[in-house]
Amino acid sequence: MKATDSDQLELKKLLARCSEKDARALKKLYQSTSSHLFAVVLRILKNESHAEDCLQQVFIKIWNNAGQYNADIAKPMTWLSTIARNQSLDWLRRYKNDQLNDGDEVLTEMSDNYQDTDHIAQRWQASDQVHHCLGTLNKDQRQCIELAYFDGYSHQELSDRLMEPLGTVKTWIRRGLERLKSCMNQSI
Amino acid sequence: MHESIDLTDPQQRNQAAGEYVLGTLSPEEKASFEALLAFSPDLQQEVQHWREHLQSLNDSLKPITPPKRVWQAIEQEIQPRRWYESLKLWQLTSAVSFSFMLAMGSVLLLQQPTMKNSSSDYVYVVNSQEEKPAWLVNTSMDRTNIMVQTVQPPKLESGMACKLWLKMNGEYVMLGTLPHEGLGKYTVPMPYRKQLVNAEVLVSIEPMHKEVAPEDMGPVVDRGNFMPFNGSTRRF
Repeated sequence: MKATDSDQLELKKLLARCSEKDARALKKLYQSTSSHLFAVVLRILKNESHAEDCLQQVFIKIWNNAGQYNADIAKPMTWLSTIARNQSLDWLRRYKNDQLNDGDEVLTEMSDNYQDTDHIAQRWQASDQVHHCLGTLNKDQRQCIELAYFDGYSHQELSDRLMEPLGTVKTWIRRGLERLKSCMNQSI
Repeated sequence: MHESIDLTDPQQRNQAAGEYVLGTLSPEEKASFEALLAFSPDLQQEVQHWREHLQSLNDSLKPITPPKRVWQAIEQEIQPRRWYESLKLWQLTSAVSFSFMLAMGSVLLLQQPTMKNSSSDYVYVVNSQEEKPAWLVNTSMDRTNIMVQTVQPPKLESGMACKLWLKMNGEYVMLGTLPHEGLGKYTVPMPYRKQLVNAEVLVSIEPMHKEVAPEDMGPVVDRGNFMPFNGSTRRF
């Protein structure tokens, strides 16, 4: 937890320097967080080439909007990930009619091929709390929440895809969110 | 079956905040929620708490290091001037426009015909940093070759050269070094011929005699798509 706090502090400082257009700070920020944000972008787009282009836009956005980051409101990694996710979901909607997906095997292959990940992202990913709280969700709840979060599915789309009644899907999501919140609050 | 959310109820409001971040509110629910969100600092805080909760989904992903070229492209975009200065790449000359016209003329009209005319082929103009034409890139009629006519090539540091790439279906293929003068001819690998006109053309700066893998691609100085060139009399 201590290490994470110091990482967050470092990211806050880097964002502050980015807002003053310090390019070296952006490079450091990129080195510290790009593997984490790339994983988010690639998870959503499932296409390596689009994910690279999208990640580029994410960092340009971070560069242009670093001044809007408010450390009192959001943790830096959450703010950065929100930008990455929103940008990717926008991209996904824009290219919805194109054949965007390389398929899930891309994610597996890339996970195997790219071992040289940055240290901050590794620490985040290895957080016990993260795995513990997601582990409190049952399979249906987690599947619904992940499909909505990473694939932009609406209730109706989830219902169609999972071939379950709309009400059931809504209940899974509601209860899943309640469990996640409860667990995360206990962990703080 | 549609039950609207009661945003005056604290529990439902908090649930709505979670679904707002998750992205599952209907357009109507989202509009109502955002109307309240704009005025309610408490609700803004609830949304932020949900962002932190759902961040656990992002945190659960295994980090993946992006290829080097992503940072190179970002760096180029945020510091174009510095990049330009450090590489001292492109030559400014007042004669560029004239050269371009001359080259166009020679490409389109003066060469010996070896193929039949066609009503349409595909061209990409590689521009310098100053948006001046540096090379003309043409697809051959049968898509087996790409022909490049030098217009006003950039001056590069010693040992460096401009390399021509194609990007197709997410894959990069390097065709070779762009010529310093005259015409260059590049064979298009068989699998790429069918979709050649849809390929993206990229030009990067690389060491002159080094084989470069796509993941080690140097700074990209120009990129774009072929454009149909109707009524061309070009002959290759």
